Amino acid sequence: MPDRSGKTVLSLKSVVQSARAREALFRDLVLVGRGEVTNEKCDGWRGWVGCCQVDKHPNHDVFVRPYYNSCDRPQCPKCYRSWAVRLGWMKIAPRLLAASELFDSPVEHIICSLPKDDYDLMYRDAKRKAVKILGSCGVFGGVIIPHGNRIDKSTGVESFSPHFHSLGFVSPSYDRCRRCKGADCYSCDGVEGKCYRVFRDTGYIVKVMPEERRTVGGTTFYEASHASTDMSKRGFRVAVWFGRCGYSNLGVKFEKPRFHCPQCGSDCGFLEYVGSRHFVIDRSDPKFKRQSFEPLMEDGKPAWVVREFKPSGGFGGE
Amino acid sequence: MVSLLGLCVSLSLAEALEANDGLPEVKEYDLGDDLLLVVVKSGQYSEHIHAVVCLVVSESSKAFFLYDFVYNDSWKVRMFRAELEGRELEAEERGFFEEVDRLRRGERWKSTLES
Repeated sequence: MPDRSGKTVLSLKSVVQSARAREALFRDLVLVGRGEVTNEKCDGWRGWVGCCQVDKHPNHDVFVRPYYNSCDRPQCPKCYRSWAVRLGWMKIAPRLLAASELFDSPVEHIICSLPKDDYDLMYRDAKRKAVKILGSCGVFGGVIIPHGNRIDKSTGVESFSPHFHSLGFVSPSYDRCRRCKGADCYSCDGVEGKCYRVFRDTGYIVKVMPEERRTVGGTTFYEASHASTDMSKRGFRVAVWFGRCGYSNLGVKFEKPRFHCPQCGSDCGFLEYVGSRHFVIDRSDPKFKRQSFEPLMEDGKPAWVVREFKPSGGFGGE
Repeated sequence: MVSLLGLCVSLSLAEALEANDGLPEVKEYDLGDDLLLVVVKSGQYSEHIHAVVCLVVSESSKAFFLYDFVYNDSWKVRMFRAELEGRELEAEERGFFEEVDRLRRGERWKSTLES
């Protein structure tokens, strides 16, 4: 039988209170990539990945590509860009594009700026409130990314200006406002009218960006590359799904993207180079090759050997 | 030009074009003064654009390859496009903050179409 005494209630309260105490203020979030390097191997060369099925390749060459270590943490100053690439192009974009097909609606870029009264909110509360506000503006699902600061272009000074970037879906479609030749937005039930009424009632400024997205992955990568993160939490989620795109609401499953050979389409595996040639592995070197086809044989012996038959689960270091 | 020619490997243009036969796109641009720019859009290994500037010597059916460069779509072009898109997004964000500052000063709400 569970103990129903006041002691248990008190201890539960203390757990809740300590959890609340660990929550950060929005003000305490810092820019990604401003933490410490916790692993000396970060961004270091790790090995080769490629395809040895030379019979399927012209000239019977081996497809090779170097790959690099990454801790995949937004806090790491060495790995945050590769983290942003992975988040934008491999996690968020496929999910949003699948949702776009499901809802038959284009992905919109929405920005929500907090009023000065809410600058001192806890991050968790600010996030919840922003999702609620976005819902009032007709955003029924998507992903939000917090941004704490902005840099004034004229002075170059970084100032606290909390806002959320969101990529999501709007109902009714924003195309209606986009194609509108000019009407009374203040009384209209379109998205612009909703945003105006939300601003008037709450002070939150929500804007749907008028331009259509060039690429969803590119937008997400850009937003993630200068997002804010909580340094005190190891597994802090920078991008949070909400609404109908929520973690268990969308109902779409994805396979982990695998890296395929561009010639034959086979899954790439780990390779080991046992030849005597020198390869440029420094990515800042102009002679660096991202991927190439190299001859299998050198001096009559195979220069590339398959190290492991397990297919590589991703795109190497980036 | 003479020094460039000395460095160049002479190849038959006909042979080069023949080797590229069957590829999706081969375009030639006449640059004048017997110079020709040949652009090959290829998807043989990965999506890339291969551009060659060559000097055509009509008497010998030989072409001297002056410059030969490859724009690999899978990496450099993609990074350039990402950079370009980043600039556009930066401008978009700057526009939003100008609007935020304007509204915080107590000015009238403008729709996106007006702004």
